[in-house]
Amino acid sequence: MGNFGSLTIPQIAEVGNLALALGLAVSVYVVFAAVFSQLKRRGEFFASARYGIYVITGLTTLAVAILEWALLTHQFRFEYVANHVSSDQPLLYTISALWGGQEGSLLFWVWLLALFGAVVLIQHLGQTNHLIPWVIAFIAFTDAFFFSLLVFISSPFALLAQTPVDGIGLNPLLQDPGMFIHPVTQYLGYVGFTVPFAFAMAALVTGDLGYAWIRTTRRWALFAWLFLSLGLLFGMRWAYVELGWGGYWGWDPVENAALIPWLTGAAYLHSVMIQEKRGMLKVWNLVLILLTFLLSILGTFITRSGVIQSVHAFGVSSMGPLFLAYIAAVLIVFAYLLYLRLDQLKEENRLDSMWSREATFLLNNLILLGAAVATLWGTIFPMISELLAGKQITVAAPFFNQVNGPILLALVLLMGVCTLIGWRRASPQHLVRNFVPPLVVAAITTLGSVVSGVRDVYGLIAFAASAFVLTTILLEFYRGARARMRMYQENVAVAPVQLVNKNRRRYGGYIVHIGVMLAAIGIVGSTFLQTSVQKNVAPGESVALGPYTMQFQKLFMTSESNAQVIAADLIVFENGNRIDTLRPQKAYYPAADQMTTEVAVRTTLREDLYVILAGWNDDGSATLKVIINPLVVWLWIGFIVFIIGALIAMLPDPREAQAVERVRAEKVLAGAIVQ
Amino acid sequence: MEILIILALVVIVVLIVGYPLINPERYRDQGVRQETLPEYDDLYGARENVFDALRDLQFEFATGKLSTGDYEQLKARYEVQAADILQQIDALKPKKAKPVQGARTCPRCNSAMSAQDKFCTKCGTKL
Repeated sequence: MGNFGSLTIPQIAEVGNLALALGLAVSVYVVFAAVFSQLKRRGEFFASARYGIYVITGLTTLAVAILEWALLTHQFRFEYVANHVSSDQPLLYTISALWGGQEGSLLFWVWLLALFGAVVLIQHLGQTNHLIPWVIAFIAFTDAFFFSLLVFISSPFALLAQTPVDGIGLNPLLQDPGMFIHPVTQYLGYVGFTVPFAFAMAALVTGDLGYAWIRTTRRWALFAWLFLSLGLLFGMRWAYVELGWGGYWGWDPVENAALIPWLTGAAYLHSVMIQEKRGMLKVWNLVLILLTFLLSILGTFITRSGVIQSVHAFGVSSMGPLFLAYIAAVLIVFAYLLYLRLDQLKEENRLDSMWSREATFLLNNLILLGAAVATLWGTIFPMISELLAGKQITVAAPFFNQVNGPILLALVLLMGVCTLIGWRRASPQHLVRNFVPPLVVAAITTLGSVVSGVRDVYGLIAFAASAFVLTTILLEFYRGARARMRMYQENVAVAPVQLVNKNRRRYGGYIVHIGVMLAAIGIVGSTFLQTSVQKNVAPGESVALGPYTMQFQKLFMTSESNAQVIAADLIVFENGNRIDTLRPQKAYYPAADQMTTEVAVRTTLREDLYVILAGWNDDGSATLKVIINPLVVWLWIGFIVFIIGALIAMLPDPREAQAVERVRAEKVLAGAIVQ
Repeated sequence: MEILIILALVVIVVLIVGYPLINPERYRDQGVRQETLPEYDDLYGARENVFDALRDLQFEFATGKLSTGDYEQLKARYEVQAADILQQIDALKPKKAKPVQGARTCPRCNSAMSAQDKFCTKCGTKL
């Protein structure tokens, strides 16, 4: 597989570059063809634009295939290959090197967007949805932006003057199974938000700002948000096991860049429900989806440009001005269209009562946005300080914890209160009655936490809040199931299933909330109750922490294909009984001249025992850092529950499909459809 | 060889994208016709929302989040809204609606419904 027929490496690179250049040309053409088709009502130009989207998909696929071929066959003449692959690198990380560097991941971005564009077209095949031409115009515009980065600034097909003997290899920190999947999910999320935003732009252009665009993009928004969540999950998991400092979240700029659109996306998913149900918040929803999209673009930029010092920063480049120009262009067009359509976006209803679910949703939006703004401010502060004061002032974790801690606690409490309050109006005496059981459970939890040794005030408040919210959600399921048993004579086994099945969106959402609460318990436990010890031990000596004693046996060295590993063998005793052996390691990657930490973790539902080999000495002694992270496993369990809930909410709703078909039949009957 | 590949790629791209432009007749109407009258979209959307609202209300009442008084009051308000929307839809309809092929109608009152409906949404006849 050394070459393609008789093509030389420079010729293959030229084909790759040509695919990108053609991609740029076709994208620009699609924007004009789609817009022209609508302005002059010329269907053939729309068809041509549509085919253009498919062509772009083909061209990006070709470029991805060429780059992946070059990576897999170690074509070190390609600068990208030489920088991200070495010949002893495991296959998995040779494949994932495609999205391990700047050029490759930008190509990956545009490839995903091209695929999404094709999927949108296929979803609407045979329908005459007049939003679609504008949707593909916007998608092609965004394609064009990413193509121009690849063509003019950083081509993945750039060649070196000479072929090096071996490549540098992927950054060793990224050689972890979590890093294989994390960027993919993160990018699916980032790119995914382009689709709902493209529909929002189409709605603004056509003036068709009613129910169509919201309904069409509900699942796309949920899909993108689900993948952003998965991106966060895999990123946190990777930080926990690979970075080796005992935590999973360090308020690193790139972590923040992923969190901020997740927060605004969550706000959007809630506030669109108010537009659907009440015809309110139309402008607000447009602004939220704009923010979420632009923050996704900004997230890509921060990750890939190296503007802010971070574990993710892979080299500075000159993409900044282009990113800013793109963002400014989108903002200006959006603001202008919004201004034109303002009188069409009047609210159709008012709030029935401040004691209604709508009101709690508004509050939830403000809180989520508050958290997003605070995090964004802390993240871009170094850039601003550099601009104004001439040096980067980094904002550290304490700032984020102090600001976001109370905000997120308020969000958690609101999650409980909101569940207890019905849509439109809550009756005070019912509200009081509904509050009693969760409050009782919260009180019992507080008492239990104090008895079991929790002394931290924040920890106590957070546990009580979590118990309160979990009880409200479980009660909601119980009451709903009981109501169904009464209303439809269903039995105990059928009613809860039908409850979820008949309203997948609402109860899927509640399951997501349960997941968030479980994750919150994990976060609170590992933040407020963490204990640790560091000690230098000779063979035979022990380190003790909590109920655990770790007896150090010996150090030993092994080599892996591309690294040398030094490991410490430990026997773990709990209350004097031998329960396990652990082997924390450090790995040295000569190609990159870099050391990584492989922690040893023993997980139980109660706590994680987390051991780091911090150092070693010539006399055979080792420095061990031992951390007990209480309840941290609930963070990961919470995420799994969360994902299940989101998937349930994404399932097609039979009632919704039935309504759509009924409306269609009626329109045909009324002669409202041009047959 | 390389020149051939480059030429082939360019020609394929131009052919695919240009094809509709040299056969404009086939593609003339694609994506340029409004499928429905927009006022219908709005009214039907509004109607589905009011129906949803009524269903929600009933469920919130059954799960003990609403007092009887509030429930009756809100229900009455949404029923008035629903009636108003239905009237507007009727007013938009042409006077003599003739059944169109492909649409399922109620045998008794002749209003339209989807293939999955078990009862007529207007008069309640079992289908």
